[in-house]
This record gives sequence, structure tokens and C-alpha cells, in this order.
Amino acid sequence: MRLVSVTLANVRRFTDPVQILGVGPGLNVLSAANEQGKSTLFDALHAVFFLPHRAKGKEIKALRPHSGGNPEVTVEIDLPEGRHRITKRWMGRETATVHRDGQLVAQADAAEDFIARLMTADSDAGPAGLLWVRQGLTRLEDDAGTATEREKARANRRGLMTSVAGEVDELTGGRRMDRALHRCREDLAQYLTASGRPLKGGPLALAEAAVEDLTARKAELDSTARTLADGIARRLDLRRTLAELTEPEAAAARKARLDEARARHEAAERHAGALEQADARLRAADLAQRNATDRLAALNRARTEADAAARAAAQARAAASAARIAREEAEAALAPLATGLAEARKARQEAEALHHRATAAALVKANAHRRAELQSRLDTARALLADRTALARAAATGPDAKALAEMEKLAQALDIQRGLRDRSAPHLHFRHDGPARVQQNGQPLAADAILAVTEPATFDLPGLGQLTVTPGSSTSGAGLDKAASDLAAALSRLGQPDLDTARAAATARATAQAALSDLDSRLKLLAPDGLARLEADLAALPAAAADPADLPDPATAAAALKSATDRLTQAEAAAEAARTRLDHLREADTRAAVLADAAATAEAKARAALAVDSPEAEAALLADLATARQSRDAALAERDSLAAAAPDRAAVAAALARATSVATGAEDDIRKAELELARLDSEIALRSGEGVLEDLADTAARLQAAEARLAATRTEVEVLKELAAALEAARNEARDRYLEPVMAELRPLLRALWPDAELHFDGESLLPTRLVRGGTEEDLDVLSGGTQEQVALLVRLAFARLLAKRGRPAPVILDDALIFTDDDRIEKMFDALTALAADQQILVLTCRQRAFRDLGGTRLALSPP
Amino acid sequence: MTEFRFLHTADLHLGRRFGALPEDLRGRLVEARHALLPNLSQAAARFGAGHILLAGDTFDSETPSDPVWRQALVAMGAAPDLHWWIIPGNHDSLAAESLWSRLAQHAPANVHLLTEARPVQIAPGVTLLPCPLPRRYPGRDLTAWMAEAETPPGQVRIGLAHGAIRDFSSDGSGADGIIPPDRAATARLDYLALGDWHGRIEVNPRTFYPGTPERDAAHPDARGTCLAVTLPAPGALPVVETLFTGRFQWTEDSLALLPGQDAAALLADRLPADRPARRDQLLRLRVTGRATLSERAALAEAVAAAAPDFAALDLDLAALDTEVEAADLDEIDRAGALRLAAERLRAAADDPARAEGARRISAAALNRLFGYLREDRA
Repeated sequence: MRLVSVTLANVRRFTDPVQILGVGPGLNVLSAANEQGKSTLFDALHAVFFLPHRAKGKEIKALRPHSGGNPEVTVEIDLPEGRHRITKRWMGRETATVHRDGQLVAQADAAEDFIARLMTADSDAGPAGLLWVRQGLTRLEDDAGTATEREKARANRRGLMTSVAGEVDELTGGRRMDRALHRCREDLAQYLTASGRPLKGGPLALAEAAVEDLTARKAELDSTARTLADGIARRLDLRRTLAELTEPEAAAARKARLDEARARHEAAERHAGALEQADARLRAADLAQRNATDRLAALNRARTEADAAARAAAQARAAASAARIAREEAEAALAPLATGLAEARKARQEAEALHHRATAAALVKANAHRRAELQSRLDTARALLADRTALARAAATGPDAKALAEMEKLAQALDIQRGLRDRSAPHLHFRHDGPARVQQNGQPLAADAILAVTEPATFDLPGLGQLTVTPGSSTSGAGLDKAASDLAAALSRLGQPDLDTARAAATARATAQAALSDLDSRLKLLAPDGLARLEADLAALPAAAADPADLPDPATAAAALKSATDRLTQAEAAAEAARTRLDHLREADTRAAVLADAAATAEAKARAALAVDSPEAEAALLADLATARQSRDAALAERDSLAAAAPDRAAVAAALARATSVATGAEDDIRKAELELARLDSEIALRSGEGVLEDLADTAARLQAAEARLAATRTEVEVLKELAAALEAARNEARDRYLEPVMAELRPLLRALWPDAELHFDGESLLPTRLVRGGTEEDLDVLSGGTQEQVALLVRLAFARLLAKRGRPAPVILDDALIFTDDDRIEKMFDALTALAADQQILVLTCRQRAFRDLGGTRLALSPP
Repeated sequence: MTEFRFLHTADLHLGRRFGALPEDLRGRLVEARHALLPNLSQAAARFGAGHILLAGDTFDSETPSDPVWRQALVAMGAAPDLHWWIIPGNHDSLAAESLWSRLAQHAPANVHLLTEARPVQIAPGVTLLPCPLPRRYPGRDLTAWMAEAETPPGQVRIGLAHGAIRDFSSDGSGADGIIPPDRAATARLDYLALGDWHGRIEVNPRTFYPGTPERDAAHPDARGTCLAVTLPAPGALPVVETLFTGRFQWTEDSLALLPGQDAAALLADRLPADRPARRDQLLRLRVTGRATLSERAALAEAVAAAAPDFAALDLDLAALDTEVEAADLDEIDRAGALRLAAERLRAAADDPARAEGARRISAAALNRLFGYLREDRA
């Protein structure tokens, strides 16, 4: 469809007809100031295509001029089948007509159907309404407007955005889908929470709870019923058992068995008593026999012991005799040993005295040598001491080395001062031309004499008189005087007349000091501790004695002493050994004598004990033993006979215990069974009255029904879940399928403004939600108004391109759709519009006359017909 | 002797509570069960019978609650000239001795509790051979003793027993406790009154199951019955008449649908015409075959409209396959996401590789979508 012209009559301010002619196939611009009727034109066009001619709503009323009248709009459009003119009039004499090439082709409702077919989607094409962008954003610029006005502007802007989604929904049939999906989710929400769990209080949760409760109840009743059934069975058993126990024949049999067991038990006990007595008799006979045997054995033992004592006494006596002889022999051997010992002691004393004297004689010889040596050293030392006094005096006379050094230093200073004076003194050079000579102090001077005058001097000049020269004073003169004075003072202090004498005196002192030192060294060698000590050592030596000639030397005397000492030691050891042995023999002698006495006593005792022994006594003992043996054999035979005939006491006792237990156990069993029967009776009576099995059957049936309900509910949930999933999947795919070609168209348009830009659509609302630029995602809500309107417009243009490519071109009508876009960006938007206009009719209505001047395209104007 | 008339009934199951049914219906069913006793009394009076033979399972459990058995005894005692002859069945066997001892303590004179297997003369010239069940599963043929039981010559011999006469176990090994079908002949019985099976069955001309007098499950004989028996003379064949005693009708019906049929009309034809009688009907309608989405929806709507007439009307659509037609899918949407979702659900429902349960869920999801959009359109 392509617009060709529009004519308005009685539409708002246009009470007189106005028209727009020559709407071109591409870009068309109607640029006019505000209040010039652009929005009126937009609304009128919208009314032609979307408001039935019989409509009376506020939208139509809004088209009516204040002065009244019937709004009428005529549009010419080109369709593939030819040019058509559509005319609609509202609010009185309403008409709708469609003419093609001047021929009426439809009117009234048929005309509306014709228009609806133009606008209504078929398959995946879209309604032309998608591409209508109503003016409504201008007031957003006015920040100073009222809050209500700002909110209205914001709402308009939101409307611009949401209209995109709305139209997409229509294209995909999404509103029915939304309602179906909403209904499905609503139904599902009765059963499940958002996280997929059963909703508390919902049918699923209730069904699950019912099954759970009834299962628990049934289990409880099952248990109770089992208990009841067990109780009934138990009661039957008990009754049967009780009947058996209380049956009279059974009771009598139990009593007979008990009586018989008791009788057998008593007989067995009696037999056991007789057997115990026979045992006692046997034990007494055993004892008598052992006594007789013991007495006979004692007699034999006493005899043996007496013989042994006699043998022991004889042996003891022999031992005592041998010990005495040995002692006496030892005492006799001790005397010669004592004699030898005395001799050895004497020889040693003599050797010791000789050794002493020999040692003393050797000492006398040594003292004589020492005395001679000390005397010699004493004499030499005394001679040296006599020389030392003079030498010491010479060593202390004259300047010492230090004083000499100081003096030499002063002499050197004086020489220096003299040298200085001589260099500064006037020098007189006498050259004699003739033979006459200048004289000084009467002495003629040499031919070319040069004299330094250091003090007034008078020269005789022969033939001329005298010449006196007086040198001027100078510092060097004072220094010379001081040096001379210092030297003189030093010499005076040393008592030396001049320097050379002083030097000679110093040399003499040094020579004397060297000689003194040498003498002192020799004295030290002769008398290290002084002369007095040397004299004392000499005086301490004993006086000289005569040298005994018959004494051996000390070594020989010492050897003789050692030999005598060894012999004495041997003699003492021999004597000690003999004494020790004698002591032992004496002790053995004594012990042997004691043992002999003891043995004699024991023998006497044994003999005394056997005093009563006699053949009669022995015969009596043998007779007693024979009697005792006979008694024991008889007792044993009696006991064995009783034991062989004894009944099994344990078996008899066990039989009695069992018979007793059977009797008492039966009584216990009867009592217990009666008690339990009573308990079971009351319990069963109670439970039976409660109708447990009825309850159980009822609960089982309820549970079955509840399980069926739960299964049905779960099936319902599964059905709803599958339906919701199917709807969501289909819708997402439809959206993707739909958006994909839109995105293909949108992408180049977007990138004309922002390189590499992408637009993201929300899967649920199908609204563009985020713009990605330079890798950064931004929500559309936070973008500037300009960017938002650019995005919205580009989306519409993309839809327009899509429609055009699918053979359903539809005009894009923009009523001040770029309000916030700045001049730089608007150029790019113009580029996009111009590019689109190559195969798409675009009608731009704008109040921004200057900004849109550069858009180009066909300029349109409202003009009277 | 003159002819002997009596009612033969069994399986009253007094005390049954019907827990699986809705609350309001349960009370009515329990009450109807209790009302059986006066109904039987009146039927006996109408028939001219002085005896009612109860062949076991008078009570639903071995421990009925006190009101159940007390009120039952009171109801039986209301007509003192009418004698009730009762044996324990498997549901109320002698193992529940406390029940039977209490019944014995409280039973009126016209109520006779037959707890021992020995001949009882119940009327001049009429001997009853009862076979009480000592426990729920006795494991032996309790009627065996009848063959050896001697009765005075010329007496009518009536057997009274409870149990199966055929073995339904898969391997046929459960022969213990099975009553031989020819027991009436071998025991020289004029009539063998049996209980246990809830349907009325004539085993042979002298052997009958009367069926339960008040149904508790669907059965071809929708209403409960008892038998009115006339024994003309010893050795003569009995004359047996069926009396309908039940109040509630338990029925199960099936409805086979094919696409293109008017499901609602078919249903209307199948429902009982007597609308007031529907109040006492429990009808389970099992729908088979195939139906389109719209037909299925129409059927569900028709059932929902009719259901309030009935004590219970259950529609079982598990075996009804959905036939999805292009027009159905067009009604959902001719194209777009809804159409896509619908087609996928149909494919999933028709996919033979999927489990039956999963396919049914997919089919139900498609039905639901259809329903949503139909309601949306409305």
C-alpha cells in the first residue's frame, strides 16, 4: 500500500478542507510549526484505517471541530490492483466508501472490511498499524512542566516502546497464547509453588496429606487388628491348654506320679544312711590296723638307732686320740723355730749399725771439699770489692751521656748563629795594587784578602791612616750572644771549662761505667747471694775430722743390711706358720674330745631305751596287728555290699523334682492361663466393641480412594506441566523465528548509529530491553530519551523493511518521532530513513523545521484544495 | 407335611462403611444396608414364610461396632414369629467368638445362632444341617459331614453353608474348602442354601446362591436379591423365586465412540430414562473408542450436566483415544505458537514409542489447551 493524497474536512482546526497532494513513493516530509495540524493529520489518517465510520467514541469526538460538523477524511492509496480512494465520515451522515479508478467498489461495512483486510495481519505479515508512531514525546523536553505533564510524557514514551511488543504479540497471535499460558500457570499454581513443590493447602498437598494420614491410620489399625486377632487366637490356645490342665484324670495322674517319686526318694535316703555307717566302721578298723603297724615299726627303729649310736661313739673316741697326738707333735716343733728367729734379729741389728757408720764417714769427706771451694770464692770476691770503690767513683765523675748530648746541641746552635752572623756582616775585599799592605792589628793582610767585619775593626792603611769599620746591629747578633751564653751556662753547670774538656770528661765517665759493670758481673758469679752469705756457708760447715780407715763403703754396708733383713723376715714367717698350725690342732683336739663325749652319751641313751625290749613284747605287738587286719577286712566287705545295692540318689531326686515341678507347674499354668484369659477377655471385648475391623476396612477403602485421588491429582499436575512446557517452548520458538528476520533487518540500521551494536529482546514481553554497544550492555530504561526513541524508531523501520520484503509494503508514518535526538545523531537517523525510503514509503511529520531541512525527500504542505 | 416356605439370603455385610465413596453417599449406603432387615421381614411376610436362612457374612467384620450388631438383633426381633437361622461366614467366622458370645447373650428368641455343625430341627419335619465357619479360611469342606448326618425319615433336609463351589485359583490347587457342586445330592438334601458369592447363582435345581440383598459393587444384576423358596415335600424339587431387595443399583456401562458421532446424544440414550430413580444409581461409564477434541469436550460437558442426578456417575475416559482433526487444531489456531504447541502435543500423544501413560498425559494436555481456548473464546 502506498499513500498518494490525504484530504481533511471538518477535522479539528480544519473546518475548511485541506489536502496534501503528491505524496511520493519514498521519503516525504511535512515540516511545519506547532499547531499547524500535523498531529491532526496523523490522527485523521489513523481514523480512516482503524476507526469504523459508525464509531462514536472519544477518539472520533476528538476529531470534531469546536464549531461542530462531521469529520471527513479521504485518502488515496495505490494498491497492486490500482489506485483507490477511501472516504470516511463520522458523527452524522456516516459513510465509508472505497472507489477504484473512480468506481465505487465498496461502501459502509463492505468498505470497512476492505480497509480491515488492508490492516489485518495475514500469516506472518504485520498490520500497518505497527508502523504508526504517534506524536507525544515533545513535552518530555519541557522539564519545567508540571508533574502530571511529565508523567503523561513518560507514559507516552512508554507507550511508544510497548506498542512494539503489542504489535509483535498480534503478529504471533500471542495474546491468546498469553491467556492460555496464564490460565495454565494459574491452574498449576493451585497445585505447585513457583519452585515446583506442592502448594501448602493446595489440592496436591491435601491429597498427599490425606494419603499419608490414611496410610498411618491404616497401619495403626492393622496393628490393632493384628493384636486383636492374635489375642483371639491366643485365647483359643489358652482355653484349650486350660482344659487340658484341669482335666481330672490328668490331675490324678500327676498326683500318683508325685507320690511314687516321694516313696522312692525316702527309700534311697534310708539306704544311704546305712552305707554311711558301714563307711564309719571301715574307717575305725583302718585306724586300729595302722596303730598296730606303727608300734611294731617303732620297736624296730629303736634297735637300729642303738646300734648306730655305738658305732658313732667308737669313731669319736678314735678321732679324739688322733687329734691329741697331732697337737703334741706341733708343740714340740715350735721351740727350734723360736731360736732361729732370735738369731736373725741379732744379725740384722749388727748390719744396721755398720751401715750407719759407713754413711757418716762418707759425709765427712764431702764437707772438706766444700770448705776449700767456698774459701777460694771468698778470697777472689774480697779482692774485686777493693777495686770497685775507685772505679765507682770514676763512673760518677764528669758529664753523663744525656748532659753531653744537651751540650752538643747547644754547641751546634752556637755554630749556626755564628754562620748567620758571618753571612750578614760587611765583607771587606782588599786588593793591593802595589806592595803596600793594609794591616790589622799590625798584621798585614793577604793580597786578595776578604774580611767579614762582625765587630768594629780598625785597619791601618799605610800611607793613609787608619780605617775603622763598625758593622751595624742586627738580630743575628742577639741570637749569637744567647747561644754563646747558653753554652757557657751549661758548661758552668757541669763544672767544665770548655767544650773539649767536657767531651773528654764524658768519655772517661763512660769508660769507668763499663769497667764497673764488668766487675759487678764477676762478683755475682762468685757470690750470688752476697759475700755475707758466702761467709756464713763456710762457717756452717762442720769442722774437719779424722777419716776412719776400716769402714766399708756405704753401698756394701747397705747390701749387708738388706740380706740380714730378709733372713729375719723368713724366720718370722716360719715361726708364725708353726704357731697357727698349733692353734688349729689344739682346737681340733678339743672338738674331738667333745664329740666323743656326746657320742658316748647318745650310746648310753639308746642302750637305756632298749632296756624294755623283750621277745614277749614283740610277740604281743604282732598279735594285735593280726587282729586289726581281720576287723578291717570284715568292715570293707560290709561297706562294698551296701554300696553295690544302693539306688541312684540323683536320679531319684530328679524324678521327685520333676514330679513336683509338673504338679506345681500345672497349678501355676492354670493360674496364669486363667489370669491371661481374663485379661484377653476384657481386651477383646473392648476392642471388639470399637469395631476395629470395620474401621480398618473403612480406612483401607478411604485410603484406596485417596490414593486414586492423589494419582488423579498428580496426573492433572503432569498434564498442566506438560501443557505449560509445550506452550512456553512453542512461544519461545515462535518468538525466535519472528525476531530472527526482524533482527536481520534491524542490525544494519542499528550499526549505522553504533558500530557492532546489538539489541536484546526480553523473551517474555518481546520488548527490546537492552542495547549492547562496545561490549557493554545497558538497559533501555537507563538510556537517554534520544537513544530510546532512536531504538524504538529503528525497530519500527526494521519491521517496515521486513513487511516490504514480504510484498506487503506499508507506509511508515512518524509524527515527531525524533524529539530528543541531537543534531549529530539525527543525521545518521536521516541516513537510515533515506536508505529505507528506497523501497518504502515514509511520511515524516515534524515541527523541527530547521533540523529536518537536511532530511531531503519530497516536501509536503497542507493546502486548500 | 405341608410345603415349607422360607427366604434364603446371605452376605448382608452389616457394618460396611464404603470409605472409598464420597461422604454424603456413604451415610445413605450404610442406612440402606441396615434397612435390609425390616425389608427382608416384610418380604418374608409377603411370601408367607416364617423362616429366613442367613448363609453367612451377616456382618462385614468379625468385630462390628456395638451399634451394628445390637441394632441388627433388635431389627430381627421386631417380628417375633419370624425365625432367623444364622451361620457364621468367612467375614464373621467363629474365630470372632466374642461377637458370637455377645450375640448369643443378646439374641431374641427368634434369632438362632448356628455355631455347631449338627442337625437342628427348625420346624416340624424340617431339619437344617448348618455348616458354621470356625475361622475365616477353614481349609476343608465343611459340608462333608452332611452326607453322614442322619435325620428322621420323611424329614426335609436343608443344608446351610458358606463358601465357594468352584475353585478360581490359577493352578486349581486350592481345592481345600471347596464345596462339591453335587453336595445336595450326596447329602440327600432337598435344598442347599449357600452364601459367599454376591451374585444370584443357581448351581443346580437344589443348590443356590441368593446374591447379596444390597449391592456394594457393580453387577449385571444391578439390584440386590434374595430367594423365596418353597419346598413342596421331602424329595420334591424346590420352587425358587427371586425377590429384589436392594435399594441402590450399582451398574457399570460402556460407551463406544467413533469420531463424528454425537457423543452427548449417545450418552443421553445410555442414561436411564427414569430420572427420579437415578438418585439411587451408582453408574460407572467406561468410554472407549475415539473422539475428536470437540466431541470429547462435549461428552465431558454432558456428563457434568447429568452427574448431579445420580448417587454417583463416574466417567472413565482412560480408554478413550483422542482423535485430533485439522478443524480442531484450526480452532486452537491456524498457525503460530499455539498451533505449534498443539501439534507437538498431538504428536506426543500419538507417538507409539512413548509409554501409554505419557501419551495419555500429552493427549490430556492437548484436551486442556482446547478447553482453555474454547472458554477463552466464549
